[in-house]
Amino acid sequence: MEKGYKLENEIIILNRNLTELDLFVKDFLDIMKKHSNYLIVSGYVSISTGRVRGTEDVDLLVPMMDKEKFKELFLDLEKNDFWCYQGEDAEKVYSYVGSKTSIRFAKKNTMFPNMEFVPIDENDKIKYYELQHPQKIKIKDFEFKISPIEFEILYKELKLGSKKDMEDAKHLRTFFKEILKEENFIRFKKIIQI
Amino acid sequence: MITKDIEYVELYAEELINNPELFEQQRVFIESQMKASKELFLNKFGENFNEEARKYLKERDLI
Repeated sequence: MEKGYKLENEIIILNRNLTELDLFVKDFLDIMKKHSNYLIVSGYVSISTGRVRGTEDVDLLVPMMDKEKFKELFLDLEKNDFWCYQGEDAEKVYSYVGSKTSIRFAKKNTMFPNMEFVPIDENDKIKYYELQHPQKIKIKDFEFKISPIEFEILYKELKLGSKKDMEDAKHLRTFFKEILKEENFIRFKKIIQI
Repeated sequence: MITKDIEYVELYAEELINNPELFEQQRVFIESQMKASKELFLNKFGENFNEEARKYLKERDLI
């Protein structure tokens, strides 16, 4: 019997075709990967693994970078048809990044979906921890990094707690029940409850 | 209502484990949402898309 996913060399392989939303994320990450580390968190983790709900943004944790590095990334994104909600001048937009304020990018002539670029540093202990402990996931030829599933579940249940988050957590708990590890729940709970 | 919704989420995820064809329904849902959103905002903001979109976002304190 065909399954919805399998685990191969610690990579979750989803048994499905790419959607337009995946292609949007893939386009962005193809550029992002050239310039920086990253981690996909929150809604897209649930949606990419089959949860049926609408979404407007894809949350992306990005380690703090200096202005020059950011300018290179910004220009590369512009060159590849992304526009930034906050402005067209990389120098000015960097003022948001430098103060750890999120910025958003969408494809030319569209508002949604958008990538919410969330700058973080070592002081953001929980987010920094998940950035350093990624789970790889693959859909066809699109491989990307998400937070560990157990971490994502606990974060939604213990930190966020809205109806939408509890449903996302339930989806992940159920769909991945065969591979979730109790020791990870114990380990991650300590981090999340810092 | 909340209980019912979360029960549905659980049921769907359970089914999805052994029936990956359900992913196809999800793809149709996602892509119809994206298509509708694209048409809506393109009609709303027209040719000066970025400028009009930023004005719209600023008026709502979103940027």
